[in-house]
Amino acid sequence: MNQDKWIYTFTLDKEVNVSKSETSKNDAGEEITITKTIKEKKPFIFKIKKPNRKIIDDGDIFYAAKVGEYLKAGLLSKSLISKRFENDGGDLSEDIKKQYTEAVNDYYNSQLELDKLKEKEGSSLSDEDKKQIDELTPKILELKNILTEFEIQRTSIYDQSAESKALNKQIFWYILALTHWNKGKENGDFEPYFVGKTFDERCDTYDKIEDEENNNEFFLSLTSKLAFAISYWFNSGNKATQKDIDDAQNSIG
Amino acid sequence: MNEFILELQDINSEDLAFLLFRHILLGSSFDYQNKFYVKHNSLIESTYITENNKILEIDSKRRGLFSEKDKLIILEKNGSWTKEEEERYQERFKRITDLQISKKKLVIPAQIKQAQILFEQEMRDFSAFFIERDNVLGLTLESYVNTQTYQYYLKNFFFKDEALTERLFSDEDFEELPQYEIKKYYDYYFEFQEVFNSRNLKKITCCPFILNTFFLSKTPVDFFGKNISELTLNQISLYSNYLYYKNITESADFKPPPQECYNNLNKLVDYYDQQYSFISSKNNSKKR
Repeated sequence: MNQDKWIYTFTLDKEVNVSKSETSKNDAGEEITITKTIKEKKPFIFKIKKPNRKIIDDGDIFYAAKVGEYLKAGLLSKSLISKRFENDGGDLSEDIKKQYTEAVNDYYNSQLELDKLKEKEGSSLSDEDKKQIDELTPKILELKNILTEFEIQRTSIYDQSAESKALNKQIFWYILALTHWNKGKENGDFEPYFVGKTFDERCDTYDKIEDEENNNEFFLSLTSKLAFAISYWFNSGNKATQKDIDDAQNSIG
Repeated sequence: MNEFILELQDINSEDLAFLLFRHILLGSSFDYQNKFYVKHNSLIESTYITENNKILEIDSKRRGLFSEKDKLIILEKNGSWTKEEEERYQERFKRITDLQISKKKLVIPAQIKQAQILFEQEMRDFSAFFIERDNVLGLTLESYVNTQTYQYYLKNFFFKDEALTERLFSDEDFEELPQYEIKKYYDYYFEFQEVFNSRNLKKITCCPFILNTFFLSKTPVDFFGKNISELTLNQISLYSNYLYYKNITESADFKPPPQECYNNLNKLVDYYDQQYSFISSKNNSKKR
């Protein structure tokens, strides 16, 4: 049984009020203590819990219910959008399709070449081989970015579908259900950050925190980190590790 | 399918009949390969499954899940899955189900092989269409309740001990199990039911030693020491079989099986069935 309890852990600085006391002597030579409340940045650890099957089941029900709700409200399904595009000749124009195929072929060939060179690595790499590795590495990275762009372009037509809208809601559902923190206590237990037994109760907590933090840097950074990590993990078929998520985040800067 | 199930699917010796008879008496089977006990289903257990499904249905409806029927109406209005597509699906689904049923009724190997080829061909031709429907339909009340039924089986029918008190998975481990793993146990359970198919149950009952033991009892309660409502479905079937054989053997026209039948359970079952047909037709002609 997999005992990994967390998907992702990160630290975020948050401004907190700290009481600072200073002791000095007054003119009469008496000792006086002045306590001031000052704002100080303190690191907080956040963890995203690995959901068990029951939480995943609940998330799936939430998603399915939302899809049904959106379809009922008149949004189009992915399959219908896809059918309409097929009737109009597909979701990408002929030119773009050609560019996409070329980029895919180029990417796989370059990757194959690099793999072959890396097999030789350490033993018999010639200067020419080394030069080729230096050229291929950035080329592959660039091709990867081009392919991601194509993918975004291709999938963007589905952005307004009932399924895409429901998926965004489901990611938000996961954020509320899985985010934990230890309230800044070093050895404290990790507890749910968005407190509540149901989705609606957790939404209330979210709104309350949003109001308190007044969309400050901390809150924006927290929600964006959570959304990225959970989306990445979700899209990886629930397989992404801490390192995978960190690498992905670093690659986009 | 695991060896344990394969070995017991068509029992041909008194030893194996005794082994299964023991399982039926205990109300559970020990899978010596996987080292767990599988509880046999009972009337009362079946009602729990129905009740559990009803509760799940109400709860998931409250949480916003649509029934398949309601979702199809929405999808049709929306144009995502037309009435014609659904009719085509239902027609194909019926054809595949019919093929499956008729395949099960066949006995001649060549016919079974032919039916299997036809079945696979149909599945290949329409699998993409079936997947498309699944994707469009998504999770519905019915499909959700189905997956939860898999969980019910694993939780309530698989145990570590003969007394059936210690579940195969602790509550904590159970919650961590992925759905596909749970489905494996569910599939296993239904394959395992095949061990207690009607032919095997007949073979067990007509084993001379077992049949003679039944003759000592007056009622099933007398034999199993439990109320009928608490008996497993296998225990009920076994006792019904006994009543069938009792009727045959008590007939004045009954001729005991020849000695060679006792060495072959299949022959013994066939012999009793022939005797039943013979006695029934004789009784019918007397009535006329």
